[in-house]
Amino acid sequence: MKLSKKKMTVLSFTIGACVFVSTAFADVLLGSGYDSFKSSIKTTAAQMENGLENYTFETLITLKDNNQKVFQTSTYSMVDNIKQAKEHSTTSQYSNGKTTTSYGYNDQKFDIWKNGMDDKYYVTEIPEDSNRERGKSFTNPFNEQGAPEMEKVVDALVGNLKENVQAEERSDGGKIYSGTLSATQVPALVNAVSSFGIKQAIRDQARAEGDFKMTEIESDIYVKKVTGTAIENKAGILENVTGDIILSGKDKKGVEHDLALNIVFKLSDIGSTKVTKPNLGGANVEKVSYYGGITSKYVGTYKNNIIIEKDGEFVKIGERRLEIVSVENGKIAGKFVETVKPGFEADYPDPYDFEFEYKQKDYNSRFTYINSDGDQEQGQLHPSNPGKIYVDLQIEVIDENSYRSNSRANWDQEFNRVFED
Amino acid sequence: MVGFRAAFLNETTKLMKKKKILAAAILSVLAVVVGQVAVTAIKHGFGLRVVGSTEFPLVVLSIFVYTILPLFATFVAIDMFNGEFSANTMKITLTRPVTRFGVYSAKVLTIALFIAANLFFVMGLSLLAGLMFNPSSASMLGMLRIVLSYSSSFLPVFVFALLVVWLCNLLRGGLAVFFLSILVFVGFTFLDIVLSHYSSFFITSMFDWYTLWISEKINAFKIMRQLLIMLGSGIMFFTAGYYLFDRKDI
Repeated sequence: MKLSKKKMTVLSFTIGACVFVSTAFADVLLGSGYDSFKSSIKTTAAQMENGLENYTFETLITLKDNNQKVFQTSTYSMVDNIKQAKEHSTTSQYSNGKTTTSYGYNDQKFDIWKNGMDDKYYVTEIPEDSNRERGKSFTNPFNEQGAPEMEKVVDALVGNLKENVQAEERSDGGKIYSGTLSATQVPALVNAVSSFGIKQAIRDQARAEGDFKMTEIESDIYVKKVTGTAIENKAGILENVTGDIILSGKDKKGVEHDLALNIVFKLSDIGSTKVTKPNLGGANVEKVSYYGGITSKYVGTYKNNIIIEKDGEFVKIGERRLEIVSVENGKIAGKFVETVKPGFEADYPDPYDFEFEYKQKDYNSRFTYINSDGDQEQGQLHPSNPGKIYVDLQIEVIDENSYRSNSRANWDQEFNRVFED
Repeated sequence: MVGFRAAFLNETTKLMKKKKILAAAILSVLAVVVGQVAVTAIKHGFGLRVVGSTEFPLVVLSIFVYTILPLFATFVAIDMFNGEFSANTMKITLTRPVTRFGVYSAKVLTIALFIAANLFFVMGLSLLAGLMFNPSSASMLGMLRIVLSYSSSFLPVFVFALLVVWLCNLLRGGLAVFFLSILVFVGFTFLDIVLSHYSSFFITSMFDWYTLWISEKINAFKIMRQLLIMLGSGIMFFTAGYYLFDRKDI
């Protein structure tokens, strides 16, 4: 049978269209290992924020230089989403053998903190009426602002590298994801940016922490290999995520170094983790005021001088006096007076003279006062070194979380306690 | 097919005489040189080894396949169809003893040849540059990867060129076709980002399918699927383009 030209054209177009549409749909439906890995990360993050009653979360980060351990830090945290309690401890080890630890516990009533420097527990009791919102034990990063856009950008950058993530079914219903990228497959841009970033990070870290000693690599830096595996349980939650990045480079002498960064996340004991408040009986405990601030020991008088510069000299033209009259149940009452010596009124117009009273609700509480023009303004007190208080006046509130203080000319915010000898 | 060989020879000869070929060659050389200078600058400035010798051609490819190659493939396609219609030289070709299908396939084959030749040219150049500047990191496996990447990159660009050929036969004005092609290219790239889940429908998302061929674990099924998608859309555009070409009045 000989087909006419027209039929032939229609037939071949139809075949082409069928092949195209059906495979493209199949491809979309099948997705990639990358897509399903991404969705399990999202499920896990969402469950950790809200959904799982309790769990234990471990993080282990190890950095090796030519197989020698340079730095290792591990965090072990136990979270109870129902009691809103969290307990965590961190241990860091450095190549010179030094180890630092820190421990923390918090729930709705207590914040307990201990660092490795002194063997002391710092305990803060949170009052019932505090208006601080209790932070969640874990915040889902995918709910942050701009996260969906970031995700799109990352997806686009990853492009066909998606296919390097392989998903394998496990016999018990879970999945194993794995992926490897060798030097050739790491896109040049990613390679350059990450090599540069890691190089800088190591340098900064070495400068910031004296214990962090390692050879600086100078040239020929590149990402040698990236590998990762993740184990998903049958509920779709990632229980174990491991990532390795090997960076290669040469130091000043031209010796080659392989820097291996290994990161492990582990989620375990889902439903069987118990967070308990530590028993501090007999331990060295220091109570820290929740208000971060002004307690009854601050009652007293504080002063500083009003100083101006005149004819090339510093001249004292008066005094500021802050008096904290009483602190009871977080309620603070006080006075603030500025006295200017006669003859200097023109140099320091409109001195303050007001009384104030306010209740500390959090470390950011402000009081309201009336200035010499009869206008309402806001001010704030901050405790400083022992016997010192910082005073901010003329505070302009921008929004809930930010404010600006407009200090006037010759203002000095540091006030010293006056002691009667 | 009667006279196909003659028609093909005719088309390639015409193409070779075009200034565009020279421009494509010069731009390709320039791209490789600029790339190598950038890599060397980064190496000495920041101490980063962005690429080894056998990876340099891959970096060049990743940029080349998205820019110069589709652009010039579009130019060539527009020249062969719209250009000849507007210069009234199409008559001469069509009055020869060749079927219209013969002429059409000769033209398409010439575009394919151009794409392949351009890829081959850039591969040679960048390999040479890479070996000259970073001779220490060459390997046999790397060479194989490069050849594989450049050869596999032919298909998606060719399918895109077929899309342009179809547009050439749909519209009369060369300029309109050019802008429409750019629009399709940009639009597809954009959609690929916005609807990344449906990227399989957009041919531009397959420009980097060579990464599948050189990955650590080769995912044969994915390659198969993308191959089928490209073949399917290729056949579609080829036939649609031919249908329009066949019905055109001289």
